Amino acid sequence: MLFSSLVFLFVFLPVIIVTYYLFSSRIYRNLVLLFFSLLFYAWGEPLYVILMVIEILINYLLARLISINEKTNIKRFYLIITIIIDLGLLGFYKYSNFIIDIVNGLFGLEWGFVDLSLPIGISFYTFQILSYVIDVYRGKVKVQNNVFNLATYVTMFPQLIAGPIVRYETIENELIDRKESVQMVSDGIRRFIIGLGKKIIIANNMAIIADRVFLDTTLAEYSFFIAWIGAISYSLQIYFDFSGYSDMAIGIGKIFGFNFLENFNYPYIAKSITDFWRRWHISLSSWFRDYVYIPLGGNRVSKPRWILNIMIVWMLTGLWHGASYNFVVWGLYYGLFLIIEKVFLLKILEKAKLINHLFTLLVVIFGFVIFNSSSLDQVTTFFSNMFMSVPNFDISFLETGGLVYLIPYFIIACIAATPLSKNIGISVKDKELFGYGYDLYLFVLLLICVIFLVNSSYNPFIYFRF
Amino acid sequence: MNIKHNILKNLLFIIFFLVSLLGVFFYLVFFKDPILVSTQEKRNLVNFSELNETSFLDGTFQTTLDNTLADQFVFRYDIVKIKSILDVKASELFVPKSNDEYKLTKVGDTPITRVGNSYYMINSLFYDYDTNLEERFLRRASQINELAKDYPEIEMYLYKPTQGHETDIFDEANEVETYGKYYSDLLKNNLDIPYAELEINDIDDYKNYFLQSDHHWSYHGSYQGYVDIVKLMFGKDEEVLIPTEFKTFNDELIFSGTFSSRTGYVYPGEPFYLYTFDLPEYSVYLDGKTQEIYDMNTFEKSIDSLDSLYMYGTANYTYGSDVIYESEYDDKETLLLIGDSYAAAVEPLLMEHFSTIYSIQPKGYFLKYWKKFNYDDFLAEHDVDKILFMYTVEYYFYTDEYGDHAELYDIHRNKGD
Repeated sequence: MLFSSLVFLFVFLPVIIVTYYLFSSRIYRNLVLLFFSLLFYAWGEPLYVILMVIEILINYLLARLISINEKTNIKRFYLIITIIIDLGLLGFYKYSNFIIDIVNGLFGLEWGFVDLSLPIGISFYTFQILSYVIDVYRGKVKVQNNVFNLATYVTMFPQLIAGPIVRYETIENELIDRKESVQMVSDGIRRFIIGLGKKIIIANNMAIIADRVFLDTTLAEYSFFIAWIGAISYSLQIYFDFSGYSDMAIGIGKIFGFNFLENFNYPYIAKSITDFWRRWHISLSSWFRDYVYIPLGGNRVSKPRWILNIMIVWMLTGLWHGASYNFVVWGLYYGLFLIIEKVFLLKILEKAKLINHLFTLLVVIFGFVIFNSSSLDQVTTFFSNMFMSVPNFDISFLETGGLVYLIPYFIIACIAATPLSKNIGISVKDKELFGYGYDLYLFVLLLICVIFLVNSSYNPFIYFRF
Repeated sequence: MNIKHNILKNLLFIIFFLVSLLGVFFYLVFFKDPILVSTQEKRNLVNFSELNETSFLDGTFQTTLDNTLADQFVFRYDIVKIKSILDVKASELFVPKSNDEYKLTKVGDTPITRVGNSYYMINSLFYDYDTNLEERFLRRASQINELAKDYPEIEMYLYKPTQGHETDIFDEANEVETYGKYYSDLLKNNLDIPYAELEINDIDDYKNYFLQSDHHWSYHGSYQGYVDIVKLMFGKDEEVLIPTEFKTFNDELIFSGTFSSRTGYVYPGEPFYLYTFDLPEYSVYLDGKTQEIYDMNTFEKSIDSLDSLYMYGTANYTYGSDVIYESEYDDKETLLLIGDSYAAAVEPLLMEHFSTIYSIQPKGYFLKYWKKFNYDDFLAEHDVDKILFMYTVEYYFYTDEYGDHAELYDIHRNKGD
């Protein structure tokens, strides 16, 4: 089930809110959350929900074994077992065919691909559950003795399928002792509507332009302008899609009294690539920092090893996003830029006002061209159109493609990618008159989202030529 | 703002949010009469289904519920219209409406354009010169020529109802170079049989001959088509039927055609009108059974059962794809009419000039019998004096994911099969 679906909006969300607040006991409220989270997952993955439950039970038992054993070797043994099982399942479902493809390519074999569908959200919940077991091993968090509480944490529907990656330590206390309030619920709903608007009004419309450009087979004939519009639109799409989901997750978490950490902080105003990754998918980059980069030795090693550590982390970051070469290249691309920045560029960028923003934006946009391209050929074509063709700003592509109506959304997206609208929102929402106005604005936003959702089902018969 | 006031404000916000969402859901489930068919979309709308183990495990229940909410949503068509109007207004911010009636603007994310600042709509212009298209036009011309050569006793004619998007009248204002009349001329120059077409020389012709909200011709257009065809087949001196009455249904009926539905009813529709004629007595047979006559003269009988018109066919007496018309005249000729939806509007008028008309729409014929219309077989079984090919440009070349539509209109014969 998607947050941006009519079923979620008109059935699941209001029903769970009402049911949750019918109970006053913490235990029952957690059970309501657990039940609805499993239902939420089973809605899209009726069978894979069993896989997730089994994984929770295994991790619950292994974490308990880690906590009750005093000997480091035995603790480490159980930790390794946990990591093998969790990453093994992730690898099996997500990377089997990619590995077969690599092996076939390397050794000239013809192994058949495995017919597997990827369990929704497996990348997110695997990292969440791993963070719990590793933190138990490290003694950072106490072991959770109540399996239902652990299951509530792992399956919690707001962040189950699209993040943010909520670490156990973030909500350890809130799982058993949180304070819901009218303020939190209303703020949560407000945040949810904003996220919904980002996803439906901005991301989905940017996707129309991006898809038109990226999926067009006549890409090579495209002009400078079209290539840039396509690349920028995709960069806006992925940001508003992902941050919209994070906003909705954080908002829903608030409705039930949880305070998830922010996952995006206006990444497109970053002054460097280092700064960008402090603002983009924060929960993922910090996860890799704490659970991969630092255990590898971080920067407290020799320079070659440090460079290797960075490249390993970014290759894995790329792979986490998907099982194909372009994601690996995309990860390594960032690893390379981060090394260059750390070696010398960061100091120069700090002094170069405005140019640093421009540089960062360009690197990010080029990165998303790699990310979204289906082949290396497409990347090359895209870049040659962006740089080698004669610059022009002809909007006839939008006109003939019937995409002119998306220009306002493009402008809105560019503005909304800056903190401007948030600052306006913050400044007015607590003022009596403007406060009501802000809520009215949110309801209008919700109404527009519903209009877009309902409209998407309208499918006029293609009886047009005959 | 004091704390108490703040809590009250937030509480009201929460209640309003929940009540409005749940209210809509409960209304849809318990109170709203389900709509079963959408005439605009020509499909069955999705409705609530029963939940059971199988439907949940295979995901059909989940999909159905989401689709049901969308299909049965309150004020659904108004919502579609609001979205379409938003899109159009957004487009107009950057490509303003033009007073130049030859300037075409896209209507949202559709292949539909509209003329100037009015709501006369038109399919996107054809831009490409394609060697494959050329080949297809030449192939059809060659097939027709061969048929004419093999059946010298039968007179054959070709009439092309030209559509707006295959003219070059819009090129200059829109700074484009379309193929214009290239393919029409190609066809005309390669045919050995008499040829005529609906002439669209300027925007007034287009507005005169075509509906505002549909890709078909208006009553005026189909009448002009009839006159052209009669002149083509019988010469300039042949008398044509003259309309006896111009009937408008301004208050009773609105026509919203395919352009209207495909653009989300940005343009809600147009007043419906028709011409009546002093038609001869005639009968219509489909699959050997006599059909109730449904033409411009009898249309008014059905008006009470129509709230609005969404399909051109409803107003233009389409009986099917293999129809026989027999007029009161025994001494006139027999016509085999190879047509499409455009032909349906002309057939009743042609009864004045023929004793029998065999009306074949090759695409419908294929869908009905699951075989292609075979000219040799048909002509062996029927005594035909004249053959008229009259269908729109797409049936010379069009192919899409649903199949090769043009191929169905090729001249299928026994030789070479």
